[in-house]
Amino acid sequence: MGFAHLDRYADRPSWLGRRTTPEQRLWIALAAAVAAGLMPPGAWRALAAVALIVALGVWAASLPAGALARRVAHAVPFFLLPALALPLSVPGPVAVELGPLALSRTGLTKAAEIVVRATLAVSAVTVVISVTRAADLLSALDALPLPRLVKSSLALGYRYVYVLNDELERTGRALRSRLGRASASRYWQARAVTLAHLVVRAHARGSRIHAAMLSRGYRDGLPTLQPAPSVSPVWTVAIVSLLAAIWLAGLIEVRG
Amino acid sequence: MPVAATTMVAAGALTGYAAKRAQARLDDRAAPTLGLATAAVFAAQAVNFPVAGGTSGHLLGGVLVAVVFGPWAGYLVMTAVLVAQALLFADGGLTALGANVLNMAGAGALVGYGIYRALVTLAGDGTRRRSLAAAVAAYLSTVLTGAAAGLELGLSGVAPTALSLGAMASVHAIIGVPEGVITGLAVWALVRKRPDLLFEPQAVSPGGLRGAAVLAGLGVVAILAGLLSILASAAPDGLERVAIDLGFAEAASSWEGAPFSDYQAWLPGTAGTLVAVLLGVALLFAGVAATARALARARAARQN
Amino acid sequence: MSEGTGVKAWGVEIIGLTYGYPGAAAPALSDVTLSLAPGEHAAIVGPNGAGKSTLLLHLNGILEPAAGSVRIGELSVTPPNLPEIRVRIGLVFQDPDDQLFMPTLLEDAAFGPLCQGTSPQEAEARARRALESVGLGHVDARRPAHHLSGGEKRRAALSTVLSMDPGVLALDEPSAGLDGRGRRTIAEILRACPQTLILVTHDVEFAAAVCPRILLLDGGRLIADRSADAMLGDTDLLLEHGLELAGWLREGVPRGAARESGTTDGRR
Repeated sequence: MGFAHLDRYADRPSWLGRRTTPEQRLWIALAAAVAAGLMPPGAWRALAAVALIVALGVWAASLPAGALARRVAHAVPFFLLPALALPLSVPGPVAVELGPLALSRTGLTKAAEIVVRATLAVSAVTVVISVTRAADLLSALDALPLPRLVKSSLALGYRYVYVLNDELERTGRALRSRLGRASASRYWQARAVTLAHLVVRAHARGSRIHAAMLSRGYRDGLPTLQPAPSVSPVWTVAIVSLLAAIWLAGLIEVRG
Repeated sequence: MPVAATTMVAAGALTGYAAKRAQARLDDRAAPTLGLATAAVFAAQAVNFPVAGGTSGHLLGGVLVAVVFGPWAGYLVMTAVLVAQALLFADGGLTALGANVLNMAGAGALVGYGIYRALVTLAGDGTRRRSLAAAVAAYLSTVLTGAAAGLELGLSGVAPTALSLGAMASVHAIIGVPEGVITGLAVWALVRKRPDLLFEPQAVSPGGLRGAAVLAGLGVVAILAGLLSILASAAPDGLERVAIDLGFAEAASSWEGAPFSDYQAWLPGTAGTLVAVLLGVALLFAGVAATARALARARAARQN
Repeated sequence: MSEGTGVKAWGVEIIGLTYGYPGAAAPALSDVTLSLAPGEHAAIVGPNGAGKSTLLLHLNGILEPAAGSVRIGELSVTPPNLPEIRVRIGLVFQDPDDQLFMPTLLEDAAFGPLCQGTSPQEAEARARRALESVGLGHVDARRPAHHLSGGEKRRAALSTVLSMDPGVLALDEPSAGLDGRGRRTIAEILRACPQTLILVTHDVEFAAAVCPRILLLDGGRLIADRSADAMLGDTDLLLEHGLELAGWLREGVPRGAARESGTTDGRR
């Protein structure tokens, strides 16, 4: 997991960026994730409709398709692994025989469906998040029913991962220059000591930040400013209802 | 769909409770402490280390965070990390968030801490024992995380439960090794250099074991219940399904030399082994709890 | 409240302040007494570990003294007064990364006002004014502090307390790690501040550039309290307490001082 890609496309002018606020985009992302990720199995036509919307989203977000594909590819192993097992495991008429392995048609279909659904869900979230600055997204999280402590952890985690990462790299460099070609056990030990350092540093910085917060009148909870200029929710409502309608159509497609 | 909704509701309720506990313990320090712990986990997870066969992985960190910042704080930190992965980094599925929180934060940090505490209480304190306890807890909690994920995949109809449970548990049985080694060594370094930073720097009192045992036990029971329910429901063609377990293992090339032609002879064995392992773990925890209670009683009697 | 430059500067009075960190053998501060008139600028210089930062943490009640007292204006620094005290005095920590803890600059600068209960609109207006006053008006305030240069971070850290309109500014090593231009910019900003200013540093020249009065702290004790010129001229005293002037590195320590310090070292 890297951090360089955060905010990379957030400032590009785009239709999506103009017509929606970060908070509205959060709702669109949720709706798209549900519509794609929880589409009932076998609702291929509804899934195709979601795919069309995601494709339109890529266009509306003015994202380079290649960059989007690379980002989505990061998530692929998470669902590819379970999906790979399906052609072998789900009983059904044999479609392909590979040596001793018989791949069932039902299993292949199921696997394809999972890959398509998951790819669509991840792409939809990625598209919507890409046009949003991480900091704006963090203040938009106020709209979600998360405990305050989780929100503040996200905000501080986002702010300080860069600081700790820099420190971690410095210790890592120092360690590598001293270790040279160390044995495996020394290698693991060094890794662990670096990790312990990281924890100690995080702890120390946490108490210094606590003092800095108190000095500015902090009692509990990080206050947030009003989010950026308001935009009419017309488009958000339209997109979310469209996605909901497609999902319902998917349910009907399978039942009927 | 029902699995996504159920896990989301369960994770939500647990997260609300965890926030209350962490807030009560840390007071106005809660936000900066958990925030920096979250940043530390982000940073630690960005570092890859080699696992077997040319693949690489990264630390999950649930047990390490819980050992340093406490089980509820650890749970919340892992939850924040998962929310960030689902949204900020768009790595994981948003709809699987509830399940992921239960697996990685619930089983990974909360249950993991329960195991660590139970082991420390059982084995006694000391730098080496404590780090060993952390290592074992990190390993077991990783396997539990995988098993829980497998169970949920199965229950949501993505894959046959026996298959996904077995596959995920065995994959995590490999991932868990570096997790355990690194966690153990890191705790060892911390106990030696900065024992004051640990959540419970003093020897754990056996009296406090009950909560830990309950947590650890709950995790085990959940897995066990899931497994038994599959075996019960999948009765006639169950054999055929579990067979795929082997097929999958073969595909992942982590199971060597299993002759595919006579896999049927293997099947009951595999399922049976799984049950036996889980039963064994459950018995172990029952034993831990009983021993600890006896120890506590003995100590209390000595003090009076 | 912040119309024009109508900042109400408060005096600072420290009497017999003593403090020891738990587990430490020697006290970090012993019997420190000093006072600043409203609007006065004074620097506290001393080597590392002299107790300078510890002193600052007592000004707004982050640390509680073992003995002695601190007053900001007529208000003594005691737990019931802390909310008001922390409005009156703005404390800027040494590492700007500790001071700038919010996801964006704007939120950082607005944090103080928001904690005081100011409305979000007013807090944002104050934050923008404060960023402007430290020369960061041109920076995109909806970005994280991570993107700033070292000098910009220092100034941003200062803006986070300026937005609270404090009557006293207390700064810990505001020039550390800055290049020449960065130091000069910060010095100019601080010199122009109408607030009472307490500057803690081991950079004697920077202290003299900002404050007409310099106090020397070492081993937790107040050693000297002089005008900036007098302090810069007393090379023996500076050398004895581990402080350096930039010229010494090139030209060597002035001869009289070198001999003096040699003899004092010999005596020990």
